[in-house]
Amino acid sequence: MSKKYTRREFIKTSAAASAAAGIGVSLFPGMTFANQSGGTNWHKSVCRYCGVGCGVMIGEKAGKIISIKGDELNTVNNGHLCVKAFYLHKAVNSKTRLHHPMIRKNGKLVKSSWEEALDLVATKFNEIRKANGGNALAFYGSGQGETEETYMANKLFKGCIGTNNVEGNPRLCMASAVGGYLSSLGADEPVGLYEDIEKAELFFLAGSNTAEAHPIIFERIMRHKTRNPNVKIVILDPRKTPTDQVADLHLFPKPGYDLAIFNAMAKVLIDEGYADDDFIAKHLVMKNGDGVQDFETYKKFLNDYTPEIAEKISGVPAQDIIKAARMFGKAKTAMTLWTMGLNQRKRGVWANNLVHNLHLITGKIGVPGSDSFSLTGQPNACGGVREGGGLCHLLPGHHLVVKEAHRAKVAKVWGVPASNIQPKPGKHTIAMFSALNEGEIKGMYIMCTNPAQSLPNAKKYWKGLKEQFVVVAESFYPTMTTEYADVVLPAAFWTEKEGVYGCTERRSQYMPLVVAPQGQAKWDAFILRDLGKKMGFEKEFAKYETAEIMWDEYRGLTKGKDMNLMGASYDRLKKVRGLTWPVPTEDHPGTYKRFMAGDPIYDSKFAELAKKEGRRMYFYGPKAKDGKATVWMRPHDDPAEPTDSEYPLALTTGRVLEHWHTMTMTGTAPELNRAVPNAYVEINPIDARNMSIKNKEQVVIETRRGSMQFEARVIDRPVQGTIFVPWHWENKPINVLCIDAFDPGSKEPEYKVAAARIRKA
Amino acid sequence: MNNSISRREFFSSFVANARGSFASEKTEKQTTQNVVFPPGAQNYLENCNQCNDCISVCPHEAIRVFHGDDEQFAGYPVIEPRTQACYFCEDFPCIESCDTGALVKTKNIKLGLAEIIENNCLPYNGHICRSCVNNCPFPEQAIYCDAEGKPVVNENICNGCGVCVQVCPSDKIGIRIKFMEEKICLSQVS
Repeated sequence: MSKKYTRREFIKTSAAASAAAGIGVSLFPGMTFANQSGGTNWHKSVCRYCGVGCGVMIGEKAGKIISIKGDELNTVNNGHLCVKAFYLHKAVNSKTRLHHPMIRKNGKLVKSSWEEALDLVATKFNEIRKANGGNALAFYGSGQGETEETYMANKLFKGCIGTNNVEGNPRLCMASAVGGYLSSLGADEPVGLYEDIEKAELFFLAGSNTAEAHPIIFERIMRHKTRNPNVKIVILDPRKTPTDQVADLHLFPKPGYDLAIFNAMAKVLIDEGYADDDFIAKHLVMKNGDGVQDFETYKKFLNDYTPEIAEKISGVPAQDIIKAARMFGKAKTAMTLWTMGLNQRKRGVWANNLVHNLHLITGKIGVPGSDSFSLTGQPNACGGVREGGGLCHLLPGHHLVVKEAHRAKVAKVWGVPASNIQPKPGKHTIAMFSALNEGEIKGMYIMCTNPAQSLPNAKKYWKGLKEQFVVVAESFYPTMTTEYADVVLPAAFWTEKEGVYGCTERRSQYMPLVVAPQGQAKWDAFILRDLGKKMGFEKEFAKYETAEIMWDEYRGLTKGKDMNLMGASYDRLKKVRGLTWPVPTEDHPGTYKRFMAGDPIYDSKFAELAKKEGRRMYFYGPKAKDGKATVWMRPHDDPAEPTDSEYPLALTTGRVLEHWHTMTMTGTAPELNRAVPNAYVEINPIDARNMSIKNKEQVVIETRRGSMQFEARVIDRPVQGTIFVPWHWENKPINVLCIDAFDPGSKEPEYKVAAARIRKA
Repeated sequence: MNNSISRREFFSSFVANARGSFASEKTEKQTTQNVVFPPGAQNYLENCNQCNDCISVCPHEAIRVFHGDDEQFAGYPVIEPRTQACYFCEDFPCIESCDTGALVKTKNIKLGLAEIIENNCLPYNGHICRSCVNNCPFPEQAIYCDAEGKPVVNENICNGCGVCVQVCPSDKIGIRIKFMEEKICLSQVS
């Protein structure tokens, strides 16, 4: 589409704002004008990085983003920011921003016009569709895309092209948490909110380096503990991390061997009388692979997981497991926070189930200060992909492709025949990239993510990216993925588009358009819309002239669902610091705790029933029966690639505070590069001595998938037998060495455990 | 490692370098305030004959000739931690190379002490950052975050290596290494 059109669209959406600015009236709350603050206009928005969803104020001066500061009115972060967000304006203005479309000609990417690029993509996609069917096309999106963007992609691929091959990188990070919430509590996403942090007595941080991956959450925990010395913190992690600063007890399991610990804790809790028998009787069912069982069967199952047996399996002393369980039991309220350490596992869903078990059998759920709370890694993994239906089995608004009524409902809103939407789930991420390798998928559209670097066992999937027709819509160039692209489309970046992000705590927040997209960059949702039109779906995509139209259509689909967003109109979202669903009407303030009094769905439909049965909660989610949550009997299972004599070390990966994902954004700030300039491998001092490796020496890590050289950092952080590598650097893409085995339920790969060995370079 | 990985590595290091050069940063001028003397300095300004042997043996290129405007330090080998901190080699080749007695091996070698510059340090100004603590060779010991997340130096453990200064991501450096006995040093200088 031409330049002219983009400009018109920009003017349309920003006309109101500039008119207001001209007459010195504050049109949008949270916005102050030039005369009030030294020439800088401040706009309320949301941070572009992790899933915490911190409120930021974007400082714009003369059409340029010059500064970022924390939004003091936002309840998530109260004005505080981590160092990454502090330098976000450098990413906006980076010289690595892509300003024009590019097409690969004679092996080289060359500058082209929008017209030529979109024509090529549309023609090629239509050819593939005609010759090989819709399932030969695929979309791979992102937990960083806005809800509106994912919504457009869903409509184009699932509704118009007719393939459910729509995935996103949340498959690599959050899928196990989704599986855990659905199978244990019956509905996705946490019961409570961040505000439980200030009410909790005990924090159980399992597989989460909160201090670095979710700094603002960590700060809240730390402040809370400082004010209330009785607050205790238990950490379960194979690595000592900066989070240990506040730990009262740290359990160090071998990577991949922690399931037994959760079961052993449950056993201690029940044996020592910490279980809430009333809650168990009225709110829970026990299940194993054979179906519903009674409580006695569960107790018998737990006999296989005494603390001593768990010690043998995990390497954590039985005394510590007992101590942790007692701390959990004694505390009046407890909050478990976890992230990739549990999710990125071959048994990620089981690990999630076992965490929920601890809260369910002790009744530490649905009470202020108690929750089993999964932390997300990306700013819109919850909002755009889990809620927006950006995975191969979902439709927007918690609808499923397998349900005929859901397909009909969504198709009607989309204005497409219901038969367009396939009844079978498409290919999950690893299957999708395997199919790309094999040529079963011949065309792929990648939006706002960098799979060539981020996929596990990444090198294996470069083949398909190279051989098939790959379109990459990206704000930054080059990335490892654009190296394989046939067409690269310049996407408008954060601050250059409006839309909604939904963070970890079910909070949807609005982000304004502050400046025009740089160069010829265009908003992803408009690129997809225009591509749709060019592919022949003129009628289907005619109406989407603004972001608000897309949001309102999506919002309509959530009506009556557990994630009701009907009350979250753009008008309202522009004024408030986000709304936590369910928020059924425009006068509803948003929900603190789901499944209990105060939740509008519970109050209107289930309160009476619950009262009759003497219950305080009713798990009304789609996967729960009779309003009951499920305690799952999940046995221990080894990781996909246990260590052995050939590869004796467990390799695990993670984040550092200063960088994020594949560094397309944080890599643009010299200050952040200075803080952590290069990748390294953390080696336990005892292991290092045994291998006579010295600090700062070059070493080579080898796994069954390849080898790579790193600088050794000999430090008492990883537990003996474990090595840790942060995964951000393009020149040291450690994910190439990670295993691509995945959880059979959630299909999330086991990034966190691979067998490795190390030698001097 | 086979061919295709190395090619990829070549390419991506090119990309990373390109991004790095885009994101280049201006370096600060050396002054008597932002440099320290090499390990084991004894009566340094008198003893050192500026033979520069320590500079040539330093494996990390941490020791360099002072090139600031200040004449008192002119020509002396110094360490400017913002450019390259001292990694405290086990065998101290710099000291080994010195035969004038300017650098002497002692029991507890300290280059100086880290000192937070509160006006510049991000956590003292409401942001969350722990780069100095994370990168310190004695994390949580020589420098640690207090309950409010602000870094605090433990003067008994800090050896003044300057890694914290090198990595500080603040626009204006939030930490510096002060001479152990600043008064003595400054009196030498003046």
